[in-house]
Parts: sequence; C-alpha cells; structure tokens
Amino acid sequence: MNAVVTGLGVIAPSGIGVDEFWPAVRDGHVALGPLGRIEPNPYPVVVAGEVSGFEPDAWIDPRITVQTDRFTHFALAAAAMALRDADLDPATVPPFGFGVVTASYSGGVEFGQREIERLWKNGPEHVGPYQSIAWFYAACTGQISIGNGLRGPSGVLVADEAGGLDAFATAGGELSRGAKAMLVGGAEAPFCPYAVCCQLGLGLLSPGEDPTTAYLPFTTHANGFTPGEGGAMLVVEDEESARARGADARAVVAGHCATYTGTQRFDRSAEGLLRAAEGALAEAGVDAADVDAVFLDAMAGQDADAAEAEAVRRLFGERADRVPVTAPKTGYGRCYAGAAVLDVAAAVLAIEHGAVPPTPGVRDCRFDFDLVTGAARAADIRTVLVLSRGLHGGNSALVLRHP
Amino acid sequence: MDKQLSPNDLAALISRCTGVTVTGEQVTDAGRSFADLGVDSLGLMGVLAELQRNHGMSRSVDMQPNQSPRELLALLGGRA
Repeated sequence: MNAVVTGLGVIAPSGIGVDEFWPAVRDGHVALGPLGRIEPNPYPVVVAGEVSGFEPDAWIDPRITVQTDRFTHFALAAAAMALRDADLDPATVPPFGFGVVTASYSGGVEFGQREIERLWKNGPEHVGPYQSIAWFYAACTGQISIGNGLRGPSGVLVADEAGGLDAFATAGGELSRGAKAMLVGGAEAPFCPYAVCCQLGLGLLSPGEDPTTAYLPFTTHANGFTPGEGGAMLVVEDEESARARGADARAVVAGHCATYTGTQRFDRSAEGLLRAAEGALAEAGVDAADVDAVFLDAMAGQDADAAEAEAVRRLFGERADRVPVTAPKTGYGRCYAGAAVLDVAAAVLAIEHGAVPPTPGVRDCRFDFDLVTGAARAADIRTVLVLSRGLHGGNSALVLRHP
Repeated sequence: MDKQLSPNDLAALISRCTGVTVTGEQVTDAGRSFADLGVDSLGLMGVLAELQRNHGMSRSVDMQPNQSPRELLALLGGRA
C-alpha cells in the first residue's frame, strides 16, 4: 500500500477533535460514566462512554441533521474535521478520484427505533420518509459522499470492530487502483433501548456500576467491556498525490490482513489474530521484531483476553514481555466499528508524539506482556500494530508506520 | 380541513419536518418552489404526511418539489 494519513477527525467520549482527544488519551483520562441517554435506565449496563458537548449544528446543515441519525452526525462532523486537518478541499481532487469508506455495526438505530415506534403506535403513515435512508449502515458513507461531492469509489463494511480496520484496507485498495484520496473511518451511536437490548444479547457487556472498575481487560476482574459511542474519520491519500500538493504524511498505512474464526469463538481467535498480524506485517514488509507498540482489542472477557495475550506471545516470542501493548479504549469504551478507527487515530497520534498512551484504569495485568498502564510511555515509534476483533468472528490487523 | 394554518404556521411546519429554515414570506412567494427552498422530494413527503396526520389534509393531495408552498397553502385554505 502507498497510502498515507494526512488528516484526522475524532468524536469520542474523551473529546471532540484531536486537540481534546489526544491529551485525554495520553494522560489516561477516564471518560466513562453513567449511561445517560436512556433515562431511566432499566438495563443491566450502567456504565458507558458517551460523547458530551456535541452540537450537530456547529458542523452540519440543519436540513441534513433532520434526515440523519446521531451516528451520521458524528461521521459528518468527523469528516469535516479531517478535511480541515488535512487542509484538503475536495473540489481540488479529480471528481472520481475521491471516495469514502466507513465501517458500521449498529447503523442509525436511534432514528430507526423512533420511527418504528411510530409505526406500531400510530400506523404506517406516521413513519417519516427519512427512515428509508437514516437507519441504513451506509448512511454515513452516502451523506459524506453527497455532502462533500465525492464521486470516487465508496462503500461500507459491517463487521463490528474489525470492520474499522478493514475499511483502511478497502481504501488502500482503491488508492492502488487509481483513487487519489479517501475518507476512511466510522462512528457509532448505540445508546437507545433497542440498540442496548441487541448488545445485551451478546452477553459480553460489563455489568459493573463503577466507571473506574467496569472495564478492566487483562485482569482477573475482567467481566465484559463497556460500550462507547463516537468514532473517527481520516483522510488517507495516495502518497504521490499528497506529496504533490505539499501535504504532510502523518503515518503510512502499511499493511492489513483479516481472518475469520467463528461467531463468539474467542477461544479460537488467538490463531486468527496471530495470522492476521503476521499477514499485515508481511504486507508492510516488516517483521514482528520491528513492531514498537501494539494497540489491543481488549474485549475484557476471560477467554477473549487470554486468546489475545496468546496471539501477542506467539507473535513476539521471547520479546513478548518487552513490546509495549496498550488499550486506550478502557478510558472511553468500546465503540464497536468506531473503536478500531479511534485506535488507528490514537496510533497515528502516538507515532507523531512519540508516546504510547496508557490503558486507563488497569493496574494488575494477569498476562506477561508489557501492558502500558498509568502514564504514557515515551518511545521512538516507527511501526505500530493495531489488533481488532469483530463480535461475529472477524480478526483484523493493521500496520501503521512512521512516514 | 384545518382552515387556520397561516403562512407562518406552514413555514414553521416545513422547518420542523425538513430542517430547512423557511419564513412565512417565502411560503407565500408564488415564484419559489420547494426545490428552490432546498426541500427535496423526501422532505416534501414528510411535510404532506404531517399535514395529513395532524391538519386534516386529504390523503389524495400530492405535490412535487417543483411546485410552490403557496400552492400547498392554497389547498389548505390559508390566505396567500
């Protein structure tokens, strides 16, 4: 892949925009709190990562706000931030050379629930026409494409968190086939009763009631993950196109690989993650010995954590206890498809700032790998490996390199 | 049929349903279509559905984005 990241737009519980997000992540700030979007909350998930202080009107034409779900508001705002960060005006890119790929897990579920309630309470004529486009997984890709006049190759991937990494591979493929720039990412807004019930059915959510202890992967206390909302969009450009317009390459999207080991078969995901990591490193043309930091999936289930730790141990062998590994998402929640994209954004920032951010809240790691806890670790980071799993069996790995 | 809907009422309803900020003055301008105002076909469908549900407008009424809010107001019996 000759794809470089030139812009970041982030909407996370930890902060809106990179200038808020990075300091919070670097300092291990915990942005989890009581689930406030459902009041009263009758569900056995109490702690969540919610985005606060987000005003759609600051970013989006009110006409579009009415037509779209919160997850699309996040994605549109993040896309606007990313374009600004990249200093890229889409009108300057050849019309069919700029595309968009997003990953989604929940879709426009809050909007969808509102309209379905109108259907069964009042009848079909009470369902708003925008239901037809707002709930759909592809809504973010479509609205970003329309809103920014992007006519290049576009798509959407639905594979939970793993899809957030796969989106970068899809975009990289389009760049290698001639696209000049891609907006890549995804966002989630999974906090309405219907969405929460769907998530509870997975049996993987933490029932913890204390935001400081609810989400503790890799410890003996691990008892499920805390869900989050938000996500990120990144501008990824063909390296030559970026150089030609004088844009700074922030990181190189160097390699990707995905494997599949079965729905909720996290016991098998060690092999799947290992092979994905090896494939991604091979595509990047580097060895495991070159990896300076790993961003972990951190599902916070005993089997899932053990499998991920085993994958790390087998990948690095004797070096396994000396490679810094981290899971910043314990500070803001696992945002489904948005989670992996936020990891990619955090990884790019880690490379830029020379610091591996910590795993907030986690102290007593039960595995013999070098989990960064407490404060960020200063390091000269040339190569980062991001690992991710989908709840339905995908295992993906992405390699990012210093430009 | 609800005869009480004023131009300002219709403007507020259109704004609420579509997110497009519309004034009472604009909805009485015969030369301004829904499309001119930025209301697309889905938005107009939402406006008509709202009028049918809550303002007693006949379900047989259909309009296109190239028609004007003034025409809609006339159908509602409002003073244009």
